[in-house]
Amino acid sequence: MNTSTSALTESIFYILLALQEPMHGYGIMQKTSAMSRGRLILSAGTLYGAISNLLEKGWIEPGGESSDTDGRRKMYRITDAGQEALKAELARLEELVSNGREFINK
Amino acid sequence: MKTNKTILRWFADFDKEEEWLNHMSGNGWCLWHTNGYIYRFKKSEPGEFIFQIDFDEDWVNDGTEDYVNFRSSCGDIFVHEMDSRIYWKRRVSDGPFEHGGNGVAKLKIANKAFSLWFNKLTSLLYGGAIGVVLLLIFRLLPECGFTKLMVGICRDVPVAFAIVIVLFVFPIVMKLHRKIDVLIRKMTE
Repeated sequence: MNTSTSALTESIFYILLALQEPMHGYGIMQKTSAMSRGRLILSAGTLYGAISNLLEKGWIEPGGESSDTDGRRKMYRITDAGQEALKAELARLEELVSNGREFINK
Repeated sequence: MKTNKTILRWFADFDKEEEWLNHMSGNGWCLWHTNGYIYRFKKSEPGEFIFQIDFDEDWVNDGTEDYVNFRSSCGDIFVHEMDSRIYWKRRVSDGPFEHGGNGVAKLKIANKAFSLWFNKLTSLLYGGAIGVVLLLIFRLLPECGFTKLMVGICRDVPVAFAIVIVLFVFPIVMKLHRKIDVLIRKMTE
């Protein structure tokens, strides 16, 4: 399991945020678009690659109950390691914002 | 009224092929099958679908089905797979495949295409080298009908491979390399 704390890409950050509740690929696409107010549109091809990487790192795992009847849709959920990575990224971003505000407003 | 159309074409550049398929769709002709030379279309509403050509990296380890299922469950419609190229279509009303400025996704597809053609190039080079080695071996063996036949084959096959490499495969690999360079430059500008 990879616990690297290097900066996350915007797509990965939003995917992990979307997976606070179990979700399938199409749901992740819809939710990331809604959270970013339509700015970040993930294509299915890009999302597949990102999900494969996250599964490999152990930050997400297959699982969760699907609310629709389409059996093809695999569900994913965030793991503890993924949650830690997300929190670490949030702390990094908060530090950036805090430092930026402090020095720009000087 | 004609509901099917068959067109003979060959593309070295997948971007141009994709552009042409979208142009055909704009004119009400929707691709349903190709073998890389013969393109078969069915009549559709003009501009109903947009097309995307993707490259299948996982055909060796059988990950294609998973990939196709995943994309299909996200609204992309699988059209056809030919020689590791996957043809996708999507209803225009469902939005584009990618965000307009998604350079990373474009780069990823270009990288997949490059790997695919680079593998073809190395396979042809290995095939040619094996042909040359066999040619030398058969020349050393006592001459008979079989060795004469094998010498002929082992001489002609590397020559044919060399022609294919020089005329088609190497220019495509170089073109994709340039395309990747351009995409990287655009992203870092």
